[in-house]
Amino acid sequence: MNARENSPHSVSFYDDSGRYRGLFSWLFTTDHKRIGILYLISVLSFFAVGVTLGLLMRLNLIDPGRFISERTYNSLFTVHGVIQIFLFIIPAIPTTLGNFFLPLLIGARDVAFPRINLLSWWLFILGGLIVVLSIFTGGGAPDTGWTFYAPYSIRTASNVSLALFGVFILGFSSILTGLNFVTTIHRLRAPGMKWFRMPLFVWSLYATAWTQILATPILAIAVLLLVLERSFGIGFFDPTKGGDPILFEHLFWIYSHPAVYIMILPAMGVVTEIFPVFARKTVFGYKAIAFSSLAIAFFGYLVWGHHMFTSGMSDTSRIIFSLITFLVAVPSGVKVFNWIATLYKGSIEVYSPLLFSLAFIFLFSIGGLTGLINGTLSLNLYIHGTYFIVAHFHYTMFGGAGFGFFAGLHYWFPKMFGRMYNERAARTACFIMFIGFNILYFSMFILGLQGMPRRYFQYLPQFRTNHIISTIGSWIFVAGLLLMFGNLIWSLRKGKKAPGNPWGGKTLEWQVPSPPPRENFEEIPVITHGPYRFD
Amino acid sequence: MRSLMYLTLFLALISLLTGGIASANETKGKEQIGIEEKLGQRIPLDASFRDETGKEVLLKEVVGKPIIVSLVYLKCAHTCPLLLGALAEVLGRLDLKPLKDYSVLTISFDEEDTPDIARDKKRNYLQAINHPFPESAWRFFTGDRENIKKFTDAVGFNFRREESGFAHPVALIILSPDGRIVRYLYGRTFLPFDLTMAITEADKGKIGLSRGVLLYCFSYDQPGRRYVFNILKVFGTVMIVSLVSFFLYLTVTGRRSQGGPK
Repeated sequence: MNARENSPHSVSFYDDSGRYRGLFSWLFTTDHKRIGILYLISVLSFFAVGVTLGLLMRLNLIDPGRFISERTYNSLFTVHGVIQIFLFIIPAIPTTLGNFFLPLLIGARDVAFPRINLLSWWLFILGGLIVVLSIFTGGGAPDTGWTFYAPYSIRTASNVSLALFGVFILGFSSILTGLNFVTTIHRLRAPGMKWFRMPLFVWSLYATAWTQILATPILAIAVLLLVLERSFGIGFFDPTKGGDPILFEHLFWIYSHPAVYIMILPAMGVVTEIFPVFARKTVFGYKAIAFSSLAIAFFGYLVWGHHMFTSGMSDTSRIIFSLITFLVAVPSGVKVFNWIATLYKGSIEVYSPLLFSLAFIFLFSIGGLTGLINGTLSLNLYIHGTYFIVAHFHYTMFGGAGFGFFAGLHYWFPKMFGRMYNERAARTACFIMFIGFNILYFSMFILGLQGMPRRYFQYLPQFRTNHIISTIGSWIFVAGLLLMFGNLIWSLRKGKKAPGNPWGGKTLEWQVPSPPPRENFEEIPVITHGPYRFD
Repeated sequence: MRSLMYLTLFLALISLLTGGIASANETKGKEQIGIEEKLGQRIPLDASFRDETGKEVLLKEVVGKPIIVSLVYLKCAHTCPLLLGALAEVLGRLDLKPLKDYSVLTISFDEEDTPDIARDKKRNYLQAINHPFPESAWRFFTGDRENIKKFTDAVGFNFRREESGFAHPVALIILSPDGRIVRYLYGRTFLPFDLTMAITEADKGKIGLSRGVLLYCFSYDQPGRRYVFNILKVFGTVMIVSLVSFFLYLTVTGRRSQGGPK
């Protein structure tokens, strides 16, 4: 790239705090990098809560009833789901790595609306705290499952309304971020950065942002109707008053299925940045990857019905939903083959970001292929509501989006914090997590096929062995997580100073110092060619 | 200040739209559908119906042995066929002798149903028993509004006409030989044991406890639902239109210069 190197004396954004001092220089910052860090801290804090709840669930399942009561278990899986979905996996990549790197990647000084960006974070924190508050107040933590299906969510005495209100606010944070990113990508690309010269992570953020803008209002409506229903008994979802409980399922999944792509698309974008750098080779099929992001976002809107194959729908619509579900696999497959083709005949250097990305491909492929099993109408009727589904979505969301996030975190850590982490510890952590993950979740596929229903506190004796294996897997996995985050946190202070471009990347963010100065670029670079030119 | 005004306007709009639904439902919600149990009370023996052959029959002519009564409307496409299907299935599994130990009576609460339709349904469900079953042991009655009301009031069966079909509870009612209500069986699947028990006790005139969970049958195309969909349509259209114009605006106005070094 033609980006000019900044002078080595430029001040990093950590030292250039702007108008405010101390804590306020963070809480009221409009710098996209500081907001990215704020999001990173908040998202990871919520993640820690979510993981703890998940661990407690697994703990119950080695000996149901010994540690946790039935009622508590219902709340555990509900709050675990709400936190991991709405407070971790949906915002994880766009708000942290996206916020930090989008302007850097397209050669801009900031996002288009820096103050709205800060507002998004405040709304996120507010919504998140309300969700957490709903655990401790009112009629007790919600116990409906993260899907809030009517009519139970209308009747339960637990604190569903407050949790829904939190989710409602989180939705606005998500919409505003999407709006901000779309405008930024349209308006603030550096001179010469045409659409097909943008890094592919930017393409995936672009597709994600549109999905956020278009789909999240539907969630807001669904949640609003549910709150009105609970408070005033209007009857949207109550057949005695002319409503229909299935309507809620439709509204919920019209948002929540596209939301699945809000989770996975940015992770795909992250690993697309990583492969060319560690293979020292330009990405294979640039346009195919860019368009497949848009295609996934588009088809993602038309498949929500596959969550409802057993809810009461006509055969015609079920067959159509099943068919379109298969179509989503095509662009996902295009991406996987392109990543592998990028590695093919490259001069591969194995560092932890690449290891995490390879783990991503492996786990996401298992998740994606079992998704085809779920999408097959006849098979779905057999495995619907079993652990098979639980295993599937943990492979896609956690194995996919989660590992993609960790890959990105290791790839960009030197740029964000100006320090290197201990490479050996990072590799070990990746290895332990990969092993733990498969023990934890693959046993759930088997449990599901054997007939273990999801969300059950108790189970028949024949499921015991696999439940114990799965719980042991959860301990191994968490050990890996602790090592990974321990290493990163330790490196914040003790790590070696990072050079501007430790991996030899060609995209714009590597052409500025680590950590970047407040205004990113001393002079806005002029772009003359595509992002992955390794000569 | 201005945003506050918009917010107020927005909330007012919401309350208008939802208010429309609330009032639409209020008028409808007045009659609560369901079953008010009238255990021990006698059915109106002087009420008259037509059986499936079109013959006029007084209820006092059918009593004399335990009777299993089901209340349905014959054009129902929702839960009623499931109820009658389940009844037919369990009748085939009873050890008791039809006509001798008990008889079965299906009464339509839709005054627009005719003996012709009743005959058709009867043929259908007798076949579904899958077992030789005397034709006269399961009769299908239709009647006029007045007689229907007399009967449904007496057994505490509250239903409501909807734009298409009815909303009504789903249950079997067991009568003793002297025409008193001895038991309600709720739900739409029945065990031979429960039915045998009910008939045996009815024969002795013993008033029993009702079993099962009350279910309802709703028709899905209710007029009240249109309002909800209107909200969704309005919001959906507004969203799509504004997003398309946002996209066009961004595309047309293009990239902005960020100026030189700061």
